[in-house]
Amino acid sequence: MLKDVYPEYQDSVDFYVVGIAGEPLSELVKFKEEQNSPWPIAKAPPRLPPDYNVRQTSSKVAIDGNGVIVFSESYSVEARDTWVRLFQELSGV
Amino acid sequence: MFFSTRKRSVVLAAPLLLFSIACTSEVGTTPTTVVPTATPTSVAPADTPTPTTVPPTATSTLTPTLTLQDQLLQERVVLQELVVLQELVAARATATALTPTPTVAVPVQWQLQPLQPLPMNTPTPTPMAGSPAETGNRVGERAPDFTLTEISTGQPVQLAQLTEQGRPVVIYFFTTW
Repeated sequence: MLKDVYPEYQDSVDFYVVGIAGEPLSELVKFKEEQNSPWPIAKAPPRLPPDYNVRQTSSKVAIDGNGVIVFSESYSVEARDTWVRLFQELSGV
Repeated sequence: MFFSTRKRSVVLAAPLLLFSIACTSEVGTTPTTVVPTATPTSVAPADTPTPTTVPPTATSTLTPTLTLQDQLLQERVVLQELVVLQELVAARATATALTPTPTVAVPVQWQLQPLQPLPMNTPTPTPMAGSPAETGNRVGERAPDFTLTEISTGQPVQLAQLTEQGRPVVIYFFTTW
């Protein structure tokens, strides 16, 4: 679902997938290859999840162009409409 | 204590030593003495009993003298051993008295601290799924700055630089397991 939505908005929204469990870089690379992920995967500093009060996998945080948090959601069933609405609001499309 | 005991030991040992020397010289001269062993036989009338005298033999006369000498020698040896032991005890006591055991005062550096509640005892509220508390709903707040490392390029990505360009950012947290 996300793979269907992401290509349309990848030029207007910077989307990064980060590990929440402090995975080593090699494991992230292997995961990207196995999943054939089209979006960038990044290694996050250990302070990132607690700074954003993230404690569960599949959490999402959206920051607008002014550096303000505009959306935050923990684990939820992935729905295509959710991603479409989020990307549309962020990109102003 | 040490000298008085030693003087007393010398006083006691001196007569014993002289006596033992005298006994030794007597023993040395004794074997040269020929003790007559022949019994005088006198012819007496039949009605009168014959007096029978048993002369002392050399063995019977020397045995008590040697026994006494041995006892004196043993006593002298024991007395000398006691003197040596007393000297050792006195020397040990003197050495101990010259090197007294130092007493080191150990300062007491600990003190009771007030009890602190353990983290596990601190009640943690369990938020409902999707509630603002669970998601750390900081919507409307300034996003804390961070720097990511993109694994494909290895280049750092800083949030501040992205927001300076007016670009929105979506962070998706996941685990590989």
